[in-house]
Amino acid sequence: MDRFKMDYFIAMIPKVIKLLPATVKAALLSLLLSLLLGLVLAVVRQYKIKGLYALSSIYVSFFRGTPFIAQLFLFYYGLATISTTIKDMSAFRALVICLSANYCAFMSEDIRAALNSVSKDQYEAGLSIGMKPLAVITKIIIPQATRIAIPGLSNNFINLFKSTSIGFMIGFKDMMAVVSMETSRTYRFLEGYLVATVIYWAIISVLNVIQSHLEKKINRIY
Amino acid sequence: MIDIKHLSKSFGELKVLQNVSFRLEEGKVLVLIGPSGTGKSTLLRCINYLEKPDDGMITIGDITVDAKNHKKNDIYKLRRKTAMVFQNYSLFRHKTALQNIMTPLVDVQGVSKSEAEEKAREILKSIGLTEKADEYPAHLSGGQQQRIGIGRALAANPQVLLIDEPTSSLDPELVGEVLNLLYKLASQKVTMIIATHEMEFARHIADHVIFLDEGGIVEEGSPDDIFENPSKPRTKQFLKKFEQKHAMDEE
Repeated sequence: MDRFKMDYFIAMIPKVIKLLPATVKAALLSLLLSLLLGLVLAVVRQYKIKGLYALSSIYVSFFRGTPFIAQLFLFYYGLATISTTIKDMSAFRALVICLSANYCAFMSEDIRAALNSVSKDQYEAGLSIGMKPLAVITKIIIPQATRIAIPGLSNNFINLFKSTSIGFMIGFKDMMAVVSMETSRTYRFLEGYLVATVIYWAIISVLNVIQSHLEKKINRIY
Repeated sequence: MIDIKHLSKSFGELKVLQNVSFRLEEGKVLVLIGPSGTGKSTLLRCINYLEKPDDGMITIGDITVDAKNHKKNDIYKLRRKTAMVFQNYSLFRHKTALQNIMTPLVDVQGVSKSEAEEKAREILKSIGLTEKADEYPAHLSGGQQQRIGIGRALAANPQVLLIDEPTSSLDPELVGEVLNLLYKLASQKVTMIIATHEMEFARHIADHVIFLDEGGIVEEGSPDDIFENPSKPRTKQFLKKFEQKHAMDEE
């Protein structure tokens, strides 16, 4: 057996790439949900909203303090024993739920720090001309905080994108799953996993370029 | 017409305002003078409800807010009748000069964008900063920022401008442009309450002067009364310090 079969490596590329859309779909959907949840969490924590604040602290502590794979298994295998909804749930949906639940905890910290960094006088200036508090938050504070939050959020998205690969442990059919299936038949582990790794690397590199472009653009503004 | 009655405010044990009352007619300029930390800023911030007074009544036009008994909505109505000019300008950092002035029009009064822009450009022209319309605050001098701050406050179309030490963050050579703008507004009969340490300016712009010390009104009257013939020892003492400082600056 050859140490490295180039033609097998090349033949694997299209087979693996075919599953890329599943990864991208899971990642983008999770990004959207975790950003929304993260923003809500951040506002609750930043403005210490009564009743929800204590709950949000426990939430963030739990999701930041436990490994993602443990959370995923607890949800998909553990809670499935007491919930038929989860038992019947597709691996894709379970993965998106767990990624969103996990990453919103991290993103909320980035968003909160960014909200925090907008000086208090901006809030007062908004109120002083007659804006209502919610309008000040959405029109004055969040636009300024976005700029500060972007580097942290980009890093989280990159981690989130890579974390989708853990979905294959619960049966999510993605690039890792196809490599695992193929290579268990051919025993060409080196070529197979190298293909998956290179594709992840290429995509993350593109994301990095987009990130630095974005940062440059928003830093130019003011 | 502005009517402030028995306004009091404490921060913990510290009584910052004690039973302050005054009235101001439309088109007049009231100047607050007094030592630092004596409650001038707090008084202005209470009238704008950025600081919640513990007791007292604030009436501006047809709105009265009783510190002890009011609806949340009354505070928004009160704020819409006032506008604040801050010591540190506090322009919206992510907005251009033009957008800063447009904000009260678009986001508070609900004016259409095109109409707001037209109005904001008029204001920019009146404050002499037409050519700075598209600059962000970070690229403007302190004096220019403060003029934009005044422009933004004017756009809020308030019944009274609350102006908190407008020049105390400025380099000396930039003070003039801001004071000149305020003189111009006074001549146009814009109602203003100004806290300041610029005594010459206070004397010339004021219709009425209040000397505040330790949270209370010590003495009030016309600029001539206060600056030429102060009756209270504390007022005399305070003004004397300024004269000495002035004399030293002259030398």
